[in-house]
Amino acid sequence: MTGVAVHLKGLRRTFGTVHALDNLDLSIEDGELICLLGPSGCGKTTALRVLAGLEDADDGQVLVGGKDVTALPANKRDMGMVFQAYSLFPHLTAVENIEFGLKLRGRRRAPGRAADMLELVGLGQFGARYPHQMSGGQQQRVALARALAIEPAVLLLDEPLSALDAKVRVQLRDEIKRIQSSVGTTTLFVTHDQEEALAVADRVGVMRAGKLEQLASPADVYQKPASAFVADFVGLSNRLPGSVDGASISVLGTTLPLVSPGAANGDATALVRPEAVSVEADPEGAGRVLTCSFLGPTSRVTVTVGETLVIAQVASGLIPSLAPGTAVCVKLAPVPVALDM
Amino acid sequence: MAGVNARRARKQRVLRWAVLVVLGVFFLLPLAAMVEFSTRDAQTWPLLVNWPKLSGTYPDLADGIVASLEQAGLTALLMLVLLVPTAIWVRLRLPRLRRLIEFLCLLPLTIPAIVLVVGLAPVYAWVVYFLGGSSLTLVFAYTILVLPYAYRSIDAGLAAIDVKTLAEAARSLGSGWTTVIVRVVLPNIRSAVLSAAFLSVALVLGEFTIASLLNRTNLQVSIELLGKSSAGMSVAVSLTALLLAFVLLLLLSLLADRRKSIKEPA
Repeated sequence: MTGVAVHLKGLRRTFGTVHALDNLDLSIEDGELICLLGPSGCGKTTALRVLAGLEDADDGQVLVGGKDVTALPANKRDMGMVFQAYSLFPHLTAVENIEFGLKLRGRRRAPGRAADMLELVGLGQFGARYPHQMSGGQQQRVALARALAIEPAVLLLDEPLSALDAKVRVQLRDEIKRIQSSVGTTTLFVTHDQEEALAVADRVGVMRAGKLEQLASPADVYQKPASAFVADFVGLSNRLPGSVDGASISVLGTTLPLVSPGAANGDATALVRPEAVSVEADPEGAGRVLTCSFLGPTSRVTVTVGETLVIAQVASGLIPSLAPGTAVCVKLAPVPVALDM
Repeated sequence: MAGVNARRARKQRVLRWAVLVVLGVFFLLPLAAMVEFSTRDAQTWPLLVNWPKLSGTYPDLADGIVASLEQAGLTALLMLVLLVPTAIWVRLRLPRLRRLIEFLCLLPLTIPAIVLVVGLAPVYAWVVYFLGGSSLTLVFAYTILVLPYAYRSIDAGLAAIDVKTLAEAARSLGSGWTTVIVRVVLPNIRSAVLSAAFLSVALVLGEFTIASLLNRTNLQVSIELLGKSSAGMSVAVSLTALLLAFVLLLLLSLLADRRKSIKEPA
């Protein structure tokens, strides 16, 4: 089974004076998983709710499989949805929850199908449990099974993992990815967790103030951010002063290529990833180690170079040689950087 | 030190029993008196449980009982039909109106029944004009009377579940609004709905002022009437009505307990 293509065209939605959606265009190809990522209030959830039919757009069009569904109510849109809050019906068991949508569609093979879906999410033994007898992760799995059981045209995931603890979150997000690619349903996943977005998405859409700042593969969003906002929001960035010369910028004595050339020559601020910065103990070095924080396999070292603070990500093995106060030299890897306009 | 504590504990125990006994006497003595009075005539209680004979001997009382039961049932029904969808809708779509609706529903509590009747009398002139003078028309007034209790109960039930998410989940699975209310929300506020219904029934069974002032029949009106001719029987009926209300309220608290124990995670 494959999914259908989804197009959001020129969506607008205002709440009071806030533009939750500001002329948003988004196309999801069939079978694709797109993550909308952004800070809270950027409109990503509104976009998903408009697609689901739970919110009306002030203007614009929603096309699913080429059909205009803008005026259809939520219950006629054929979409499966998993919510941030636990949304299983408390008075029904796991199996009954999954059968709920099937029965509304008058499907006779409901029992078999519900059991299959429970298997798919790895909860074959839990069919007779009520929601309050399951953990949060299990409830969200059942919710996913319930959403997929009706074979929806589009699967909508509204921060489904944000109520779970870190370990379950990683586990379940990998599972969502596995299930989504095996079922092939076109999926829109909304999250504010960049790691989650980068891990599961085919393409990541970074949103800001109701607009899409960038829509690209996770690697591109991370390595070639289209704007300073994207570079800043996705991953950690150093803001280092430098001077632009044509298609490159000179920062801390190193010349780095620009992600998007075309900036005027002169002073600018480059956004440099901590993993592109390396530090080495060097009595002649211009930098001084300020703090070190241990993160497991890697560590984060904060260094001052003159007036500038630089954060570097280094292998934890190097930490013993980088006690606070140590003189170090700072080197930048020549990867393309974005500018903070 | 231990001796002082033990003495204090004993004192407290004595005080507790004293309070219990005083309150017990206060509440139970009238009931005991009712039992004693209504059993002076050995015929009273056998007659009360023998419906055909009772309705033959005291047709007014039988009418009152039937009227009250019908009023209670219809009031509970009308209240649920009006209030459940309204409360759900307000929570889902018009959260800003919640305060206003709550205020409106609590109003009848602050207005004495006698004042209510003064306001209702002209309205009932129209009710009589359109629907006739049946005692069942009191159901409209009673529905207003039970609003404060019923609304509180239903609203508390709705507050205990995430109505918005449940409704949206059901909508996305393909249910229309009726299915959302009947198959998703109602089963999850069942005990709240039941307690609202019980409270309504208990209230209607004990209502006297409005029925009497609007010249309608119900249980309390007929009891009062009966008191003038057959005091023993009227007291027996009062006692029965009181016990019925007790049983209803007891069931209610049992339901509430069960809801609490279901809420405890396994």
